[in-house]
Amino acid sequence: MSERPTVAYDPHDPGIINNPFDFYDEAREKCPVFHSTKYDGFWSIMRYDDVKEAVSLDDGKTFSSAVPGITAFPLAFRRTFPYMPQEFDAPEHRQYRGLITHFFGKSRVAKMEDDIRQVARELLETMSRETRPDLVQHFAVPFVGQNLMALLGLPRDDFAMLSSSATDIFHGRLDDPERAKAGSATLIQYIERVIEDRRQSPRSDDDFFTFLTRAEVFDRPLTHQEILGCGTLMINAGLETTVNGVGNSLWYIAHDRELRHRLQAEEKLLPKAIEEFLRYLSPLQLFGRSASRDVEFRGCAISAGEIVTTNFGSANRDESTFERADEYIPDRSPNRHVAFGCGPHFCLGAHFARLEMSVAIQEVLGHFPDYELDPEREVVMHPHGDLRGYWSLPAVLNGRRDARETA
Amino acid sequence: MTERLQVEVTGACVGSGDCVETCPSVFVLGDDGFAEVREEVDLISHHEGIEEAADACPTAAIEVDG
Repeated sequence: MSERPTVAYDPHDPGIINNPFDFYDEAREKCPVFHSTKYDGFWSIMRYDDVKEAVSLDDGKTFSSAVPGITAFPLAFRRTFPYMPQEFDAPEHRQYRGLITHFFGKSRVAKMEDDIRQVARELLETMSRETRPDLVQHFAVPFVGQNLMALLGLPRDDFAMLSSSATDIFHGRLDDPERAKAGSATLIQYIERVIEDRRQSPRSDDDFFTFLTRAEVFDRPLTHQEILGCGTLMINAGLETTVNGVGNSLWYIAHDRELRHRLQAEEKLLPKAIEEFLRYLSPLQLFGRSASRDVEFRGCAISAGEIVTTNFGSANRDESTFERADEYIPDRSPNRHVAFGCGPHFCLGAHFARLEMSVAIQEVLGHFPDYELDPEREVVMHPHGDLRGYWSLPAVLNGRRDARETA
Repeated sequence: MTERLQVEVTGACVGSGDCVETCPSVFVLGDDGFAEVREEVDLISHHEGIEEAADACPTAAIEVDG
């Protein structure tokens, strides 16, 4: 008999944001698929194997991505156009995604490493002169923002306005729908101006938006709405996710002296340590889809149209896949986490995000090998728990001993 | 000298399908949702497409040797 187990779970509850992992452990054991009534109701899939199955197979036929805004509830407002390619199912999704994969390919991203490192060095140099330095506000946010602008061929300084619009959207959706709507309007207006500019004054085909204005799909050029859906997606998917990846890593390193020393001594450890940061403190904890039809999943009766979330954060702590899952093991191998998702919608920007995290950690440890979190100022997390990370990470850059001596 | 090419999809594959979209003559998604190299394909004649697919793969799961 199919069931409808109900659990009072709110991913945006401050206690859960601070530590969702104890809840995840209990849910995986006792109630691995459940329904919650918050935010007009949503299902949660908690186990690794189930999450992989839900996002990998029969794209769209069971769980669909083709509902604007479905990935990140609550919906503060109805976006009138879908993110492209994310909010499409097979077969359209495949076509759209195939158009742009080469912009995120390993070799194109690798060529950006020197520029990314230069951005990090400039920002860290500037941050060293701050009286109240903050590893997120003074470093991770502008670092990720400027790199994304470079990837998309946009003016570097525009990141500040776009980052603030994205924050309005993500923070505002919780308690201030008007703020979310205004942030979205600003972002749309900006991307529309970029599209217009590239139509008037095309650049090379290596320029993201010029490419989109010339690209064809289904034997016709991309429509304005499709390009808009792609541009707005790039901004909303490429900022806070990676900021969290960088911030969560720097937060963890500050608490683990042995790891810090190993990272400083063993250059080869970093790629594995980054995969473990992604698994252990996943920047994106959960993602939503919509049930395409009435479906029984692991004995649960899910109705057509209901929101179904796959909980990547929980899947990444699943003991049946990861030994000692609740421990950070820097050289864990294999480490087939689902922090970037899995299947046809796997994060397009994964190479870029990994490179940014790598450069960020190397440069912070290079410039400030003894940095610590400032005990006098509180860390602040984002007010949402689907994207999970720090909004503010106040730091003492040269270590506390230094701070006391110069006080 | 005879040119030879070995192509392998490793366990890092997550089934994004990007290789299939990039080079459908060589790559195909299996029943398990993960990528496979088609059987009885002349890999040499698709060398460029294979390299593009390997580059597009978001998990660097395609190993090309040759």
